[in-house]
Amino acid sequence: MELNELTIHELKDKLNKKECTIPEIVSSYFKKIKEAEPKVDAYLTLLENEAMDEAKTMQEKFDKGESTGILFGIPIAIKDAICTKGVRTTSASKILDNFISPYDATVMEKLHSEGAIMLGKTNMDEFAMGSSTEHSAYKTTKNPWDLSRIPGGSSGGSAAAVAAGMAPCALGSDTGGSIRQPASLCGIVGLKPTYGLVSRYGLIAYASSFDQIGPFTRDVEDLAILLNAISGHDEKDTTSENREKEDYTEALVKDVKDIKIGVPKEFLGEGVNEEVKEVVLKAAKKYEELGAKVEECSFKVADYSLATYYIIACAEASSNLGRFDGIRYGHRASEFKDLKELFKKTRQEGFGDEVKRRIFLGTCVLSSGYSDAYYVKAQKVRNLLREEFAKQFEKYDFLLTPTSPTTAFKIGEKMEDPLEMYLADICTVPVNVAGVPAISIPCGYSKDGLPIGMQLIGNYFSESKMIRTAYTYEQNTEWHNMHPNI
Amino acid sequence: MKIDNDTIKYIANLAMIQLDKDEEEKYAKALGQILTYTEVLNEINVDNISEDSSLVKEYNKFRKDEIKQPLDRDVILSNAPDSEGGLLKIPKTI
Repeated sequence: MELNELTIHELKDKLNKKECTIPEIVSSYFKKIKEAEPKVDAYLTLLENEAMDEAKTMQEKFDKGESTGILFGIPIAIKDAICTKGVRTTSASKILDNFISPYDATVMEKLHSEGAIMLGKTNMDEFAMGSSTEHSAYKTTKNPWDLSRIPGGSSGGSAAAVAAGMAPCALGSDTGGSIRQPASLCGIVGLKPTYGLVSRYGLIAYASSFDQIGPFTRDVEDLAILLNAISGHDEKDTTSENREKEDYTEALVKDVKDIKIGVPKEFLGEGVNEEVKEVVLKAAKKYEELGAKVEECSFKVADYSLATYYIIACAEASSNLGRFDGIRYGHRASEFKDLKELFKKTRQEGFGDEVKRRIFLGTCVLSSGYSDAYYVKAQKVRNLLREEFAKQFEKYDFLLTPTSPTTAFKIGEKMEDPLEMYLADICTVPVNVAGVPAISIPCGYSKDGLPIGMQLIGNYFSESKMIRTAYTYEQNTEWHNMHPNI
Repeated sequence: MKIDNDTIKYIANLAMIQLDKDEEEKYAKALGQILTYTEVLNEINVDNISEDSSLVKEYNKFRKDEIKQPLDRDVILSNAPDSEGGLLKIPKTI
C-alpha cells in the first residue's frame, strides 16, 4: 500500500515505528496529485516546495526527539475560504483573485502548532454558495468515483482530494451542508460541528449564524484526531463557546447499546432516491443489530427549513459580502467615473452569477416592505425548528437521515435551475438552521458504484457520543475501506 | 411573487451591483422563483414565536484591553488595488 492511501492514524503509527519519514509521506501525496489532479481538479493552489521544505525541517526535529503535536508531519488540504498567511486565499471568487491573506485563521494556527503540513488550498463554490463546486469562478472539481459527476459542494475540492488520496484529511466549512454533502457523495467522513465548537476567525464569512469549519477524513478515528486539533474557545470569535476541551479519541469505543436513534420519515419521502432510501434504512437496521434502539419518528417542520435557510443565509450574505468594494483588497474595476460606480462595477465584475443571486435575494428580504414578510418570519420559523429538534432530543440521542437525497449528479445537470440545486441540501440544511452538530459517514453504494452517506444529527455538543455511534457502525462495516480507482 | 425589472434594478442598486440591461430579466426571474418557493412559510402560524433567533445568549463578552502586535501596514497595503504614501487611494468623493 502506498503512503498516500493510509489514514492519519496509520501514518502516525508508521512514523513512530520509523517505517517512513515525513518527506516520504509528503512526496507520496504530491506524486498522487501529479497523477490525479489533472483529472479531478480538486486544488486551486498547490504548495509543493513549501510543504517539502517544512517536511525536511520537521523530520530533523523528529529525529532529535523534538516532535510535538497530534498531527506532527501529517499533510492536510485546506478549503480556500480559510485564510492562510502568505498564501493566496480566493474563496474561489474573482473578486479575491489576487488576495494574499496577511494572517492565519485560528484553525490554521492550531494546525501549525499541532505539526500539520498544508499541501494546498482546495476548490469550492464561490464564497461557499453552492452544492457542486460548479459555481467556482475557476473550475469544476470532478467526483473521483465518476469524473462526469460533481463531488458535491461547496467544499467539493476538499472532499475530492481526500477521496482520491491527494490528502489524508482536509478542512471545509459547512453553512447548509457544505461538508456533509460532499463527504457523502465522495464516500468519506465529514462533520459539521456544533455552532461555536470551532473558531470561525479567519473563515471568509458567508452566513455568520450558520457557518462552521469542520473536518474531512477517511475514517472516524481520524475525524476524532482532527477535531481534537481544531476545536476550542477562541477570544477572537465571540460566538465560540468557552467550555472544557474534550478528547474525542476517548469516544472511539464500539458500543451503541445505550443509544436511541430516531429515523424521521419526512427525510425519506418525496425527492429521496429509492436506492439511497434503501441503503439508509439498512444502516438503521444495522444499528438495531448492534444493540441500539431504533424507531421511526416524525420531524414536523422539516418542509420549512430550506426556505428559512435561504432567506436568513442570503440576508446575512448580502451584509457580509458588502466588504468587497474594491478599496482595501481584491479586484477593482478599471473604469469608473466616481466612487459609487467604482463599487458597482467592481462588484459586477468580481462576483459570479450565484453570488449575485444570493446577494439580491438577501437584499430583497431585508429591504423595506419585505423584511417583515420574509426575514422576520424566517427568524421565527428558525426558532420553531430549534424547538422541534429539542423535542426530538428528549426522546432520541440521534436522528438518522440520508445526507443527500441522491447520489452525485452529472456535471451541468442542475446548473440551469437554481432551485433544483438548492434542493440538494434538503437533508443537511435543518442542522445549520438549529446550530446542532451532524456527521456524514459512508453507508453503501448505488448499483452504478456511487457512494451513499448517512447523516447522524445530535444535540448541541454531543460530538463525543456522535463519534462513538459513527465509529461503532463503521467498525462493523467495510464501506470506509472502499476507495475510488483513480 | 413576481419580480419586475424595475424592482430588480432597485435591489441591485441597494446591493451596489451594476446590472446590464440584458441581465435584468434573468435575475428578476430567478429571484421571483426563489421568493415564491419561500412563501411555503406562510402556511405556519408564528404569532407567538420570538424573532430573536440568536444562539449565543451571552451578549457581551469582555476581554482585557491588551496591546498586541498589529498586522504590518505594508503587508496590508500590498493587497490594496491602489495606495499612496502608506494610505489607501480612492477616487475623489467630494
